[in-house]
Amino acid sequence: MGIDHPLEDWVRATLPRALGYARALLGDPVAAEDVVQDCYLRLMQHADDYNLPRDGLKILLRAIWNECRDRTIRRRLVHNLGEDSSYPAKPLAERKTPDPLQEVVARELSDRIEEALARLPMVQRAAIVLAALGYSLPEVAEVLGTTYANARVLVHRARKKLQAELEPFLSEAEDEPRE
Amino acid sequence: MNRESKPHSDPLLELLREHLERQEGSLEIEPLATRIIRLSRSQEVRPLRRLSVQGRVKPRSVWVVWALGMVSLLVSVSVLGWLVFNPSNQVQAEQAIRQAEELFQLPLERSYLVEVRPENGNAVEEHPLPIRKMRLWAAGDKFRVEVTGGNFRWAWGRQSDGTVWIAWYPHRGLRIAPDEQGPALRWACELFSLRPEALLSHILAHCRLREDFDARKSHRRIIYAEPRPWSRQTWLRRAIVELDPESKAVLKLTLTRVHKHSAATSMVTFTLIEVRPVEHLRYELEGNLTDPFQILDRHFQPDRRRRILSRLVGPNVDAWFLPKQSKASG
Repeated sequence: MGIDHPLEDWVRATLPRALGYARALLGDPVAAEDVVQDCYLRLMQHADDYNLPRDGLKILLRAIWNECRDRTIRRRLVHNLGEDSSYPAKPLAERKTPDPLQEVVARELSDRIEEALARLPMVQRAAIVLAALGYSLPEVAEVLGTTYANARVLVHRARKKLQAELEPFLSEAEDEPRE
Repeated sequence: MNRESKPHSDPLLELLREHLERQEGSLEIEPLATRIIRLSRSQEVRPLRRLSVQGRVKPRSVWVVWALGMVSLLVSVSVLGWLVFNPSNQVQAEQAIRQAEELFQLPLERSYLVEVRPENGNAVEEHPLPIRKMRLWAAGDKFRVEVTGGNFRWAWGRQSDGTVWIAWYPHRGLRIAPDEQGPALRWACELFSLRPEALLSHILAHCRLREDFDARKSHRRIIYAEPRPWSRQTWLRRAIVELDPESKAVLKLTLTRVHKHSAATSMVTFTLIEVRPVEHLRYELEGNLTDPFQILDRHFQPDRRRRILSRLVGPNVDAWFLPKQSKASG
């Protein structure tokens, strides 16, 4: 690529997670890219203040959460919508799987998961996504800027709602033999 | 820190993890990574929103043409427009701030997320309050602050007569009269008096305003305020006001303030969360307590009041009261 930048490796290593997280929160790939780019650049301006290779991802996820939340608040104020309508109804990601049948099944599952996520309040969506990505409850609380107890409640509520929505897929998954 | 996600024992979380990781795997990150690194290197970070149109940065060739066009346009506009554009910018920005100010006359209460960050020096630590991020409710000259620490939630506020109250339990609260309030408490009150309602008129009176017209593309109006050269006010170094172009409501207000007794500066950000009709009783101590309640003040169990306060704000409780509760100097 010819770009010699001290944080290049860090950007490339963390970008899939950061972008995936922003897309999961906003549901809009273009807006997600905008948020992620903005957050990276702001963080890299303060690169001397942090140890980015060590702590950067968590700080970045927190910045992305703050920015997504602010955008949603602004949009809600402007359009005066009661619900979080910032999340598009239809998932936008393109997926490629070799087997057509597998593709249909994967797409249906993916659609259902995205629809179920979209119906969650944004803060619950953020909490359950972080939990699913392997973050502990104290880390979820830290990223969302809330208390441990609140993070636990957020994950629990989100989990309960997703459980109800994705029940058929969960039982199917349980029936299938594990690899 | 880039972690590898481990499989969950919980089938739902595992399903979700697989889905998210599939999504991550399908993302084409290279163009964005290159763009971020290039923008970061070129230090063109400040005008990011100008570069970004709906999140897409144009290819380099388009930028070159665009930049050349803009340079020639800027040269001609800057010569002709210097006398006209600057005053007009100031006038338009003033008009927007006045409209926002009028909105504050409505009998509504507003909730802000308040974040205080020291910029240089140790501005926050000088005033040992448990302040980092909190929720502020404000209506007129009254305010109420909700603080969450661990599993414990408490609220404090200031009434119209200057009395500060604290409610930490449904049946118990305390009051601190204006002539009992120590420096830390006065500092906190001063900080929360800086709510947007009170600040807009200060900005209009003392600041030179400049609007960033590019921000309108992203459905916002951003106005930068800096003290006029002859202004005698000393505490405000700069402010950024973000307005909703349709309703003219203040969405975000960022202040850089200079502390009275030191060169330290701190940045305070108010982000509007909610607007609703005023509940006047919520700004009084009694409105935050449940009957039957007990209120501690200078006449009733003053020492216990001090002990309880030390549990809420830490060992530096003395900074909350004037020494020996003598008369305040004002």
